[in-house]
Amino acid sequence: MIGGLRRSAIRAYATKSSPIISSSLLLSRNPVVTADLDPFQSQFYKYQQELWRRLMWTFPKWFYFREGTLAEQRYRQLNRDPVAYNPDLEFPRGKPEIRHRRDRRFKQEIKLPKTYKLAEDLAEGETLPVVSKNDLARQIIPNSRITEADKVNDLTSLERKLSRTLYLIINQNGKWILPNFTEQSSEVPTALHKLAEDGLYQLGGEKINYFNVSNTPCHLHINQAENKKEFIIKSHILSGEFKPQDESLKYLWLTKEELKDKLDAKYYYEINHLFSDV
Amino acid sequence: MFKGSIPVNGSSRIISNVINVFTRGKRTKATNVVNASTQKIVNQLSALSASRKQPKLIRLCQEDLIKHQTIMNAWRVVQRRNEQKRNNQLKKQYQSIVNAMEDLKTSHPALYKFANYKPKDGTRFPLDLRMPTDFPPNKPWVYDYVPAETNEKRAKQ
Amino acid sequence: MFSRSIVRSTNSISQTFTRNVSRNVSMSGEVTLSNRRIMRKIKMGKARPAIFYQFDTLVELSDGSVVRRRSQAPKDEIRMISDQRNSELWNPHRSDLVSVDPNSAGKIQKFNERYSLFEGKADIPSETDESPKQSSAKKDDFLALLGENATEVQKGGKMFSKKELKTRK
Repeated sequence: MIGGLRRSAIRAYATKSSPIISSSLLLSRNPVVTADLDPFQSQFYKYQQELWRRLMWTFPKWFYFREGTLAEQRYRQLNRDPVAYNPDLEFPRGKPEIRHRRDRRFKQEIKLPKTYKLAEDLAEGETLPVVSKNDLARQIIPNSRITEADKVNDLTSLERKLSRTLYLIINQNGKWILPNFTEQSSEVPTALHKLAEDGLYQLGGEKINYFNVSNTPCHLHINQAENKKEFIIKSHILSGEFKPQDESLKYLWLTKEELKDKLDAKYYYEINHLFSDV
Repeated sequence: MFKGSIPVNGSSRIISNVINVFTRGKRTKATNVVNASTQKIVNQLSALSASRKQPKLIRLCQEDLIKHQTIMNAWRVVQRRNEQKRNNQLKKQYQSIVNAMEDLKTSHPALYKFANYKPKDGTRFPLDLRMPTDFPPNKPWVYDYVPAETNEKRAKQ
Repeated sequence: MFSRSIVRSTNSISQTFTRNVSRNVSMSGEVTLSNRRIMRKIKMGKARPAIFYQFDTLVELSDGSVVRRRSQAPKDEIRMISDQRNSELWNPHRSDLVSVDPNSAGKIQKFNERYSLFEGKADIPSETDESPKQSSAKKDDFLALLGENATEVQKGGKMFSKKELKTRK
């Protein structure tokens, strides 16, 4: 049935005067880490966090640490009781109100015993023990959100700008464009997303794990100069390496703002709503 | 029966050497003794209930109250603005999908049919997609991807 | 968890919780709570949200990525040893997955490392080797501990065993 449709379609529409139908690939690398906060957001979150901390109830220590256990002893060593009210003493910050060993006028800050040794509770002359990388009880030290690729500003690396969505663009005839693929033989029409997939494999090798969002094109760009209709197909790269099969191919992974500088102004203005702000 | 009663056999003779001292006036047991299961419930309830655990109410002066309201209003304005921006973008995206499909319908019906095809096997969503985390993994990107088909081929060979 | 019934005593109301036998609740005996525990009515406008104490927790996933979250339990660092990031089910295309032995940091592992000599095996697990290898050999060779000259003395009557009976026949 589909074969019949295909044939009729070619007969009716594949004439030389009509524009060539091609498919462009909008290949994005989704953010690996959460979005960067702008100054207003981070300040607001800090304010909310402090309010939240101030309004928190007292930590029910008796519930989590049973009296007389070692864990409770360690907890008590770390968290000293606040000073109770004494009429003979002067309290410049006001009279303390202590309930359940917490001054209820302020936020409660609790230190927890660690599974590793800290630098500050070492005795004199003692050095920190060497912790192996496989030790499960080691301290959690998060990796930096800024990677090596960011430091050397490697625009072709997939590891740059982990908090942003990156888009693949290639250089064709001295112009930066989204990778565009035209069907070679017009005997049997290939679906747009299939065309884009085959093109991507030819461009960057087969070792790309990618997810095609939909078979439906998300935009139509009419290229007057080349008499082309470019249907844009959206997809995400999930893993694997984009390795240009052609040595001379120039490609970049860029964010929305950087695309604005590279792409043709009119072209960018037409398709900028397809790019993500984060 | 007292503990220091007359010894009957050998084993209790040893025990009788320990002198029991009873002191009057000192309470050895709490008055409100609860059994273990009651204590468990009491502990659980005490972790949940607010009695004596609530902090003091925040009493803001007029100036601080206005400051707080200004912050919250500013936040709401920013949120609304972002939401509008996002909605506009989504509308534009939808419109451009409609335009593309309308054009494809007339210019190439066969491709239109392909473009409208939605597989119903429910395997669309990729398992490899990951949620963004606050800090990146040790290897920020996985490069050694092996396509499933070649994997199978290798297994056969 | 427990059925609730109000028992009226002479001068005060007390609540009695009786154990639900059908569910296996680890409680013994009846739970009796004093009337102090009965909730007081909260007046209009006096309600305050219940904000339990929360710790800022770092959760490290198995591939080294870290998520910040709040947690009510007193833990400020949590390390996941098996999760979506190193599960084969969720990573069908990867071959470089590493899974860590969950028992390699516990007290039992520490004990084994220290006293492994007593179990009759000479090799102490090296630091690089994370997984503890349990020897399948029985550990009841106390005689070796006593010395070479010692021999086991048969004490008490012989145990009846069907096997021996069969072989005798």
